[in-house]
Amino acid sequence: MKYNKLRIVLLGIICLQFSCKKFLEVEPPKNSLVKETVFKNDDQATSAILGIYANMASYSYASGGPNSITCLAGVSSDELIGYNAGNSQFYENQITPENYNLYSLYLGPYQSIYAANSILEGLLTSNSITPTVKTQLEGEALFIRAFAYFYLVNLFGPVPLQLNTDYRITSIAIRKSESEIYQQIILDLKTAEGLLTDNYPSIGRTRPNKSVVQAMLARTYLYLNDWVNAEKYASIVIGKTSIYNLVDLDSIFLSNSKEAIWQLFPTANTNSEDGNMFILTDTPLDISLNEHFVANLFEPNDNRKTSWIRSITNNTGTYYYPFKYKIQSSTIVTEYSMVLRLAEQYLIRAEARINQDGKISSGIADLNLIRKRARPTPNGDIPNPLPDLPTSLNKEDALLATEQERKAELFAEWGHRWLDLKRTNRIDIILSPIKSQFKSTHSLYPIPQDELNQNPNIKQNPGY
Amino acid sequence: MNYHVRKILFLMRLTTVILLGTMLHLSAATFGQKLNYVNKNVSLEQLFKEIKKQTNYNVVWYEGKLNTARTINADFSNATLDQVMDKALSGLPLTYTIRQNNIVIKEKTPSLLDKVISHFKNTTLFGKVTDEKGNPLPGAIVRIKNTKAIVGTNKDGNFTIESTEEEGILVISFLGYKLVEQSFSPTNTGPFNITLIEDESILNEVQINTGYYTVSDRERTGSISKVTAETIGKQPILNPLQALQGTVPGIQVTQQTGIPGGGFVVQIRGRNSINSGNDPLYIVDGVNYPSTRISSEIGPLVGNSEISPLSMISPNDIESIEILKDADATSIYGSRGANGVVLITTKKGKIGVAKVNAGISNGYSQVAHRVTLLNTDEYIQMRKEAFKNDGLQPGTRDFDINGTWDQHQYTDWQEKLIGKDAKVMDALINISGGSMKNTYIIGANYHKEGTVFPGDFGFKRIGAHSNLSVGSAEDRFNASFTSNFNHTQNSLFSTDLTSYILAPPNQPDSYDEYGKLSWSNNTIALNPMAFLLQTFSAKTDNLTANLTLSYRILKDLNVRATLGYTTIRMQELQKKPLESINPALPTYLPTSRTALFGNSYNNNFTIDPVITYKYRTTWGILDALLGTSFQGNNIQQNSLLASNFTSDDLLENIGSAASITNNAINFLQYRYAAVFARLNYNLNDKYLLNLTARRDGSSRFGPGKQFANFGAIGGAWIFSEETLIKETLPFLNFGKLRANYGLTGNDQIQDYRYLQLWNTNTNTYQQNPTISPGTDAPNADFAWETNRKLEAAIQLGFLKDKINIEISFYRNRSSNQLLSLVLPLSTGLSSVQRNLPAEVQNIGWEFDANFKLCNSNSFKWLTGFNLTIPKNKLISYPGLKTSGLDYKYQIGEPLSILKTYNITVNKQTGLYTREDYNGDGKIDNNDRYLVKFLGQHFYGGLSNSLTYKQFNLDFLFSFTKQNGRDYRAASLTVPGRGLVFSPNNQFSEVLSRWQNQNDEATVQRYGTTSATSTAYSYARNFGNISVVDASYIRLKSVSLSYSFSKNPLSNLKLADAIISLRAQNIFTITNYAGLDPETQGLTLPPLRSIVLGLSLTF
Repeated sequence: MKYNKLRIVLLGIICLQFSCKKFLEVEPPKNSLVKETVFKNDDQATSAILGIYANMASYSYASGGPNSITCLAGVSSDELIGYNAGNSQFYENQITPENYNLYSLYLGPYQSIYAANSILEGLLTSNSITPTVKTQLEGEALFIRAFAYFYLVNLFGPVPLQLNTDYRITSIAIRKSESEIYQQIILDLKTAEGLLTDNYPSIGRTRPNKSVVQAMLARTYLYLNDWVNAEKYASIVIGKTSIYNLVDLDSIFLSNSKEAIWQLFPTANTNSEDGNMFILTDTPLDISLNEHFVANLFEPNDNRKTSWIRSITNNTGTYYYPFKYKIQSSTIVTEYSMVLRLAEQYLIRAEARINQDGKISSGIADLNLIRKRARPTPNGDIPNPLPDLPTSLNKEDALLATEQERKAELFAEWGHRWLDLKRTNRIDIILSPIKSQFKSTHSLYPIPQDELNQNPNIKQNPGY
Repeated sequence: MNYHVRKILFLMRLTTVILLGTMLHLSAATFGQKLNYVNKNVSLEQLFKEIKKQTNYNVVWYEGKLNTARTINADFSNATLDQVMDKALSGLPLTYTIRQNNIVIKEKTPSLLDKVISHFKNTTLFGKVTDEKGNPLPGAIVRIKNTKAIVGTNKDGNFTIESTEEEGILVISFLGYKLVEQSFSPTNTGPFNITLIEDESILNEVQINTGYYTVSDRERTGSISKVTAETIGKQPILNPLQALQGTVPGIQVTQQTGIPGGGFVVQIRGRNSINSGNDPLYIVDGVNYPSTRISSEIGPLVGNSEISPLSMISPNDIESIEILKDADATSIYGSRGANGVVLITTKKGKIGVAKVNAGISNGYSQVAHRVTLLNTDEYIQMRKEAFKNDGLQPGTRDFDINGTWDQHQYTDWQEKLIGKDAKVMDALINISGGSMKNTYIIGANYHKEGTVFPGDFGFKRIGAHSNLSVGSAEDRFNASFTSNFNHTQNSLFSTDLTSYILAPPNQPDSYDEYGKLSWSNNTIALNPMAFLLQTFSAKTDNLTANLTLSYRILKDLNVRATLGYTTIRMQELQKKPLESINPALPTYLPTSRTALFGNSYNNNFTIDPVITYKYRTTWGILDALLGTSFQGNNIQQNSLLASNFTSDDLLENIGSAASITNNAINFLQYRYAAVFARLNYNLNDKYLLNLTARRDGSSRFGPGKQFANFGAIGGAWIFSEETLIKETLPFLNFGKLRANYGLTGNDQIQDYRYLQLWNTNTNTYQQNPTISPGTDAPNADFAWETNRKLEAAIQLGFLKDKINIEISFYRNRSSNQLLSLVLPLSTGLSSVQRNLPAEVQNIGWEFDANFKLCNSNSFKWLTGFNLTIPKNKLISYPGLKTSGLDYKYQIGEPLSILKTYNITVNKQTGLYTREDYNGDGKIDNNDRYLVKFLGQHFYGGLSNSLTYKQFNLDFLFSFTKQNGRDYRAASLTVPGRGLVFSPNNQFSEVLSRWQNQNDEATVQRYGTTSATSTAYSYARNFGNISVVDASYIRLKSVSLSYSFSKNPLSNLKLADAIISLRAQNIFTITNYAGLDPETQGLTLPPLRSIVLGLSLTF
C-alpha cells in the first residue's frame, strides 16, 4: 500500500517534469530566425547577404559618413580637417587606442567578416537553396570578406585572420602577417571571380558581380606591386565597354551611373552619407577640406575644381568642402555611395603600366583619358586648358604625375590618398612637413584597446 | 508483531466497539469502579493511565480529536468513572460511552431534541471592547471558546454574540493587544466591559509573510525584515523603494537621479554576480514584478536613468514590504532567490464598519545643495591662460573670449536650469471594512510632482486599489481578490539639464527678445533650453491582479491556488522639433524633425497551487507545504522612428511623416516552472527546524541545462524558554539563536542566449528586408549561477522587550558565475554567455536594535538603529590574467574596484602624468596598479519616534561610509578647452591648478589641445584621483504630526484627524565635492521635499 503511494507520487513528479519541460519551451523571438531556418530558402539566405550591405551603408566604416574610412583616413592624411573630439585625434595623428571612431574602422570590417563567414558556413550545410543562388551568395560572401580584409590590413597592418565563426577559436586568434592576409584576399577574390557572373543580382549596381571582384583584384595586385596582374584585371574591367564608361563629372555619383562598378544603396532613405557629411551650410563642426590641400590639388583650369569643390564663408572664416555628391539630404534618392568606379581602374592600369618596362607611354595615355574628362572646352583666353601629359615622361615623373592624378581624381573617397601615401612610402615626405606631430609609425592606426583587453594574444602596433 | 498490523487490528477492534455501542443504544451507565487520585496539573494521558491502573478500563479516542496534553486538577476520592470522565472532558465538545472494559471518547452528537432545546436555550451575550484609554476598539474579534461562534466589534467597540451554551468563556482578541478571556454564566450574560491592553511582546504577534507561507516573527528561522505601512506613510515619497533607505539592514538602495520616476539600484547583501543581474526578485501580491526598465526605447530618458517600474505603485497602497535575505527565506524561490526577494503586499480590508480614510498633502521639492563654479572673471581667465599655456591664440570659434560674447555677462546656470521649486501634491481616499468572513477595501490615489527644471514638466500617477476577501460559512472556502491599477505619465525631455550647469557663465541669453530660442548668430553651440523642446513623454498603464483561492479539506489540510497577472503597457513619444535645432546647422532640415513612437507590453502570469498540512502531536507541530509554480513573462517592444515632417506641430501624428523606419523590435518570452516543498517542525515553541527545497527550470537555459535543485536547512532555538535561562536571566525576556545554510540560484541573464539567432535589421537594402547574425555568440552549455548562503544570528529581547536586538552574520558565496564575456572586436561579436568557475564572496554583519526609551501614557520614545558592514571579495577567477578583465578585477578584492594609474602633475609640463609603474617605457593597462575600492564600507540608519500626547515626531538619519567616483569623472572637458562640444565651465577647485614651472600642484594646468585633453581624461577616468570619499550622513526624513483629540471631533462625525509636516532629504553632511554623494557625478541629486498634509478618518 505504502509503495503504491510512493509510485503514484513518483509518477506524478515525472509527469510534472514532462509538463514542465513542455512548459519551458519558448518560441524564438518573432523578429529573429534561428540559424537553421535562415538557409532554408533563397529569400532568407539572400536577406542575410543584404544585411551585410545594409550595415555597411549605415553609419559604418563603408558608409561615407563620420565613422567611415572616407572621413577618418581622409582626416589623418592631408585632405581633411577634423574638428570633433574623435576625429581631431586622427587629424593630429594622435589617435588613442580608446578612440571611438577607431572602433568603427576595426570592428566594422570584422562584423562584415563574421556575417560573411556565417553565411559561408550556412550555405555549406544547406541543401534546399537553388544552386545558382547558392553560387551567387557564396561569391558575394567571399568578396566581402576579401574587401574587409583589404582595409583592415591597410589601416592596421597585421591583423587576426578570422575564417570561421567559432568564438572559441576567433577570440584567441593571433595577428597574421600582411602577406598571409593578402594571400587570403587573393584566394577569396579569385574564388569569387569564378562564382559570380557579369550580371548584377540587384536593381542597379548595388550588389557585387564579377566585375566588382575583378576591379578589386586589380587594386589588390597594384598594392602588392604585381604590375602585370594589376594591369590584366584593370584591363578586363575597362574592356567591358558595354557596361562601364567614363561619364561627365557631375553625373559620376548619380545612382546607377555608367561609371559605377559598385555602389552602396543609402539605407536611411536619404541620399549618400558622404553628401550629408561633407556639404556645409555653416561653420563646420565635424570636418571640412584642408585649405592647403585644396590650394595644391589641381592644375590650373581643371574642371574638377569647379565641379567637385565648394566653399562657404561666414563671420568665422572660409571653409571648403568636397562637392562630388551634390545632395546633402533629400528623400528622393538620386545619389548612391560609390565604392568602386571605372576612373580608378584607369589609374590602376596607368600606374601598373608605368611600372613595367616599355609601357610607360601607354600608362600615360590612361592618365590622359582621365585628364581629358576634366578638361574644359578651350576658348580664346585659354586655348589649351589642362593639356595631355607628354608620353615622353620618364618613369619617376610619370609616377609623380600618377600620384597627382589620383589625388585630384580620388580625393575624399575611401581614404585613397592616405593609402596611396602609405603604399608608395611617400607618407613621411608628404606629411612630416605639414603635420607637426606625425611620426612614421602613425602610418598604421593603433589596435583598439578593447581588442587588446579581450585577447591577450594581440599586441599593440609600435609607437602607441 | 509489526507495529502497523497492531495498529490496524486496534482500529478494527475500536470500530467494532463503536458500532456495537451505537447499535445497542447503550448509554453510559454507572459502574461500580471507583477512583482515588489527587494530583495538580495532571495531563489527561497520565489520568487515563491511572484509570487503567486502578480500574483496568481502557480509555480510547481518535487521534487528533483530543489533546491529551490538556491538564486538569485531579482531586478524586472515591469518584465514579462518570465523575472522572465528566471532569476530564468538561468544556470539550466530546462525550464518551463505556462498553465492557473500554471508555470510548467521541464527538457529541446531540439528539434532535437536544438541538431544538439548545436553540431555545441560546443566550445572547453583549458588551463593549475598549483600549486602556477607553477608546472603543472596532474590529476586535470575540469568540466563544470551543465553539464556532465568532463576531467582530462594531465601530463603537460593541458586540453581541449568540451562545448555545449556558456557560463558557468569551475570548477577545485584537492584533497588537493581549488576549482576554471572560467567563459567562446564566447569571452573567453581560454587558461585559472588556479592556484590552497593548501587547508589549510584539515579537510574538508580528506575522511575517514569506510569500508561500507566513510565520510569526518569534518563530522565524530565516532573515526577514519588514517595513510596514506606518513607516512608509510617514515619508513623502514617490517610489516605495525610498522607504527602504536607511531603515532595513542588509539592503542598499541607491537613488540614481532626482528626476521623478527615475531609477534605483537595489542590492540585498552585496553584489553576488560578476555581471549577470544583481537585482532582487520583486513579488507584488504574489506575482513577479519587473525590476528593470520597461522602456521600449533605448533612447535617452532624462538623466541616463530609467523609469523605475516600482514608481508605478503607490506607496499609500502598500501594507507591508518584506525583505527576504538568507537561504532559509529565499531558497523556496530557488533559482531566483540569490539576490534576495522583496515582497510587496498591498492593503487589505479590516473587520469593522465601513471606515473612510482621506488624505491630501501639498508641498515642494528642490535641489538641496549647489556647487561653486567659476564666475565669469575666473572663467575668462581660465580660457586665456589655457591659450597662453599652449602658445596659441584664441581662434575664430572661441566666441567666449575672442570678443564675440560679452565678457562681463554672468548667468548662474544652476539657478536657471535646476533652481526651480517643484510642486508635489498627493491625494488619497480609502474605504474599508467588513464582517468576519468578508472584508473589503477600495481606494484611489493621486500623485503629482513637478521638476526643478524650467518649463512645465513632471510626473503624474493616478491609481485605484481594491481587495475583496470572502469566506464560506464554515470557513472552509476562502477567496481573496486584489487589484491595483495605476496610470502614470512622465512628461520630461531628452536630456538631464544638470550637466549643463557647466555652460560658460558668459554664454549669451538662451532666448531672444521675442522669447524664441536664440543661437546668438550661431555662436552658441549648445543651448540647454533647446532640450526643453525635445520632449519625452511616457504613459504607462499598470495592472496587478491576484486571486487566491483556498479550501480546507480537513482541519489541518488546505489547498490553495494563487493566480496572478501583471501587465505594464507603456507608450512613449520622443519629439525633436526643428525649432530645437540651430538654424545654422546643416542638420536644420525637415528630415531632422523626428518623432520616436515606442510601445511596450510586459505581461507576467503566475499560477501557484499549494497544499499545506499541519500535523500536531505531543512532540510538536509539523507544518508541511508542497507546491508548484508556473510562471511566464512576455515582453513585446517596438518603436518607430518617424521623420521628415512638414511641421513641428504635426510631430504627434505619425501619418504626417514622410519617412517611417523601424527603430527597434523585441519579442521576449520567458517561462519558468518549479516544484517546491517546505517542512517546518516546531517543538514546544522552543526548537524550530525549517527545511525548504525547490526544483525549477528556466527557459533561459539550453536543453539539458534547464533544471536544477535548490534548498536550505534552517534551525532556531528559543533559549529564553529554557527554565535555566528564565531563572538566571530574568531580564532577558526573549532570546533566540538561529542559523541556516542553503543554495539558491540566479538566472538573470538575457533570454535566448543559447540560440544562434539572426535578427531583422532595422535597415532595409533597396526596400528589401535584411537580417544579420546576432552579435552574441551562441552557447548551449551555460547553466545556473549558484549561490551558497550561510547565516547565523541572535535575537534578544530585554526588559519586557524594551530593548530588542538582532545581530546577524552572513556569508554568501556565488559560483558557476554566469558571465557575459566580452569578446575581442575581431571576432565580429560582442559577447558570449558563459559559466566561469569564478567565485564571489559576500560576508557581512547586520545589527538591528530597537529601544523603547520611554513608554508612559503621555510620552513615548522609540529609537531604532541599524548598521550593515558588508565585505565583497572575488575569491577566485581562473584565467583572470588572460581573460582581458585583468584590468577590471583582482583576486582578493571586491568586484567594484577601479584599477588606477598613479597620477601626478608634472612639474615641468603641468599635465597629469601617469606613472610608468612597471618601467617598461610604455603606459598601458599594466600600469594601473593602484586598486581603489568603489562602494560601501558600512551603512545604516538611526530612527526616532517621539509621541507626546497628540504630537508625533519621527526622524530618520541615514549614513553611508563609502568611496565614489569624483564628480569630474562625468565632466570630461579639460579645464580651459573650448565650448563647442560640451559645457566647459569648471568647479572652483580648478583654481588651484599648475601655473608655473616647478609648481607643486594637484590640478593640471589649463589647456586647449587634445594632448592636454587626453592627459586629463586618463587621469579623470582611470587615475587614482578619480576615486574619492563619498561618505555622508543625511537627515533622510522628518515627520511631525498632530492628531486632534477624539472628543471634539465626534461632533464632526470624524474618528480621527491628523495634520502633518513631512520632509525628505533635509540636509546632508559630506566631504564629497559634487552635487550629491549618493548620485555622484553630474546628475540631478535626490531632492529635498517638504510637504504639509491632512488625513481624515470617518
